[in-house]
Amino acid sequence: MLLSLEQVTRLYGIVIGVNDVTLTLPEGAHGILGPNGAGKSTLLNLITGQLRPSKGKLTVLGHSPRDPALLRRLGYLPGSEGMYADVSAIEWVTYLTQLQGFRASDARQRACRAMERVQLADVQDRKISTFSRGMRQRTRLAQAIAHEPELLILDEAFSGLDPIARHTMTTLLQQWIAEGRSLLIASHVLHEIESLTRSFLLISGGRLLASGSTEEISRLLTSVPATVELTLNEPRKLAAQLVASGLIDSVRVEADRLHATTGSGRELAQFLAEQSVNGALEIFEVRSSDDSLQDVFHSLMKLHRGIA
Amino acid sequence: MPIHSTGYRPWKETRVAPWRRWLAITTTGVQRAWKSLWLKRLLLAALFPLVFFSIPIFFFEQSGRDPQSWTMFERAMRGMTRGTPMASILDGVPSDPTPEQFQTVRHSVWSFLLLTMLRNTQAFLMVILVGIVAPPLISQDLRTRAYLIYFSRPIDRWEYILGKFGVVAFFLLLISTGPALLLYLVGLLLSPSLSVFWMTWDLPLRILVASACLIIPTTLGALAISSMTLESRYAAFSWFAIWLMGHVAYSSLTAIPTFQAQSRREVYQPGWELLTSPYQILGAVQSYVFGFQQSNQWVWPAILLLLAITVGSLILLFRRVAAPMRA
Amino acid sequence: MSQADQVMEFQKVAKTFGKVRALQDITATIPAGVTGLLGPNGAGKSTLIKIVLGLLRASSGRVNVLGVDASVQGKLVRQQVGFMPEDDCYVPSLTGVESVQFAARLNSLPRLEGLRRAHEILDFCGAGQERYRTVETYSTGMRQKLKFAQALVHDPPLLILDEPTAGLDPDERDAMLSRIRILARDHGKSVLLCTHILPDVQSVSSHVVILAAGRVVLSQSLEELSRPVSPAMTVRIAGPVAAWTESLERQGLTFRPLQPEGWEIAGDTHAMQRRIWAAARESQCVIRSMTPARNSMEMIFLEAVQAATGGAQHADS
Repeated sequence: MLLSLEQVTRLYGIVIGVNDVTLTLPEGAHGILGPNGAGKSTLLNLITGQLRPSKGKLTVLGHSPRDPALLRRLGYLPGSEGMYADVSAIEWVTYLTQLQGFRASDARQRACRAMERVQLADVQDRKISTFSRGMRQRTRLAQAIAHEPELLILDEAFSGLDPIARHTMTTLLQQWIAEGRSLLIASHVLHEIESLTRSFLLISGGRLLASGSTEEISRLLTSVPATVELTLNEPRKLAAQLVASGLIDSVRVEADRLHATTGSGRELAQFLAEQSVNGALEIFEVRSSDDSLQDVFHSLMKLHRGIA
Repeated sequence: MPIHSTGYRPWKETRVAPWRRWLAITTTGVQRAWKSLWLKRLLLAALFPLVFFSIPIFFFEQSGRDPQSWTMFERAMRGMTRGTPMASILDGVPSDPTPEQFQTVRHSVWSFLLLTMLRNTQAFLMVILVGIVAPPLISQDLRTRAYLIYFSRPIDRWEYILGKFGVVAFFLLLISTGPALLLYLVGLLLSPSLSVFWMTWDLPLRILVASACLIIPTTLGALAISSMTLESRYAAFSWFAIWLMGHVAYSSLTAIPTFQAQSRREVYQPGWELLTSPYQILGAVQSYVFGFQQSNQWVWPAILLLLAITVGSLILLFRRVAAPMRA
Repeated sequence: MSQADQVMEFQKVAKTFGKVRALQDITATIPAGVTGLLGPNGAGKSTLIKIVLGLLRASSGRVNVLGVDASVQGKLVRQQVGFMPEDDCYVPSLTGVESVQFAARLNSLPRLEGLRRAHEILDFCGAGQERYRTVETYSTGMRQKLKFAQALVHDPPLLILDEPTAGLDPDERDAMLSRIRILARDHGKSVLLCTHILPDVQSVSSHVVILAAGRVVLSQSLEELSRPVSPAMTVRIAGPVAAWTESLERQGLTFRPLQPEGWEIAGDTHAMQRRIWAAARESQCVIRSMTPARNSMEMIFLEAVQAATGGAQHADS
């Protein structure tokens, strides 16, 4: 069990941070998704023990977040720029690893290994002030993984990075996940997380709206139908069939495209497969909204605001 | 037609003349500065000297008709001018002056009163006013990176500086030139006939020149200080510190000589010492404009110093205002 | 490309700061419409923008913006261009609508007209009653909208937007991109979109320019760029994966898995679709989406930059 929260609430004076969050997460990679000010950073601060919940309990890897033994098993990477001394990267990472409780020589070894993993080994002796933004971010990643934690926590780790740096970061994180370690990444940019994991926590206004994969979530959104867009040879014929079949709520035909809304996505897909195989139809393209995290989030927000 | 004004609409109407762009900066700045309560109190306080100095003028004009007023006036004047180089202003004027003598004295008396008002009371208020209005003008723009908004538009640096200058100059005109011109008007109205104007027509011009000497170097200097820092309170602090230190320097340097002169019943004429205090520099130049201190050789260095401050501030401003964008 | 179709033309533009060569040799034509300007940090984008706006003079070469030489008539260029900076910037102590009015007045709009127009633009940008609050109280999203409104208020034919969707929520990001699309499509404006967010470029641009190491390494229409060398389909399924791959093989299809999920099946849709559907039915899988494969913007960018810098950029970024 990676994470367990039970009715956790955190308030800053009258301002809400997180509001009655209950969830359990298994090991693996998870994305925390939400607009700015939604409570992602608050949640991460609660997990790393920097904040105490106003109400509720939480455990991380079976420990209370304020347990010092836990800190060894966590790695934390904030996205915002920190204050950098005029030291070389390897010195900085070594120093911070020592703060974790390792002996100096041990810390140095681990730091070097970490710098290798983030592909900065050849420049590790340069001063951090000469690094580009992407390199600084990777240095911080090295510092976060040097003590070989089980869980890596990232808060807006991609902000301000250009596409190349972003790609490098993504590759490194994919490697991390492939090693079987756990990852929690918070962001407001959907596609950054989509490349790393399919398990999401959707947060807004401090409340946990939904968790799971896009499929799971949209399946539960029965009151919000999914939209399907098909490109095929005879849209009108299919439209008539779909209406007759009762699988769809509404249909619209446009040139060679058919747009339909449905509450039974799976059955519809099977119906389409049958029709296609029987030679009756030629369906060239399929797009569905429950496939898109963007659309799922959008539908959730509508529901959340009471818009049917 | 059912749909009228939806979404984005183009804009194709006439623009204003380009030279009015800097005015936008001034009006916006004035509106912002106007919100300050202390500023409004200061503007009100600037009117009191007007009332105060109207009184000697009243007595002066009255004394043309009533000898008793003359005595009161003379006593007031001697009190005001004691210990200053202008104490001799009423020497040689008998207690019962003829109309011709009266005319000649009028010019000097009015000059003196105008100068005193501008130099002493209004200058003091000016220092405070500039310290309230000027420091945030450029430093805040640097802090909030407003230069990105200004200079990505068809605005030159001189337009920006002129706009900011206008904000401070507006208020300074309100507290210095305005009351001074009003005082002159009061004199005109209190005098026996308006033909007095033909004898004193140079006074409004001197007021304007003295105001210019007062306003231009100080405003540019204050704006230059404001452009040096991102924190307006450092700029304000520096501004007041300069005046205070100058005053302290001048006072310490002239304390002993003044005391010695007083014990000899003379008036001490400051020499190079007046260059240490901005207040005294301005005072000397203004006195010169009003026709006093013609013989003081240190007036010219003072004028040069003011020019140097003006030019130096302009250079500094040009370099600082758009620096981050042009890097 | 005829004169009317291009909004910017760079001819051998170079810029050196002391010993640093920020721009080496920029030669490109930016067509009308929405153009995405991409490049790694330090490639010279901000220097280029300053030269376009006439704030910096190029060390050599010429820049024509809307038919005007930027180094000679910088002011005229700035009159015709609406610039939205990336950095957080605002004129202090003004309310939202006053800020936009002020920006309008700096572009020579009359005072009252500027105010009226400010309200109009803020409506278009989706700003409500917050326009009457001072900018210091604004959230990131509102500040971005405000910067956008300021760039748009004087109805410029060319917009230069630097990271317009940075810090925006998914909904607001969509709205911003949609506004850009509307301005380009319905009002004939040209937009130069400078961003690191590749999906944005894919979503609104018709042309892409990539800068790397002070040079233009790529300048092509998005349509041409996205077309894959050999046609393929991207398919996402739900169901037993092993059975799916077996069925695909049985149908004689060439395929490979994608990260983090999905499958790329080589071949043309029209010829293959029946076989893909058959494979799905056979393996009891459900096809969630099936779309023609597009070259990923990310790969295009990486390849272009690495080709230009010989891989050196990669380690250094």
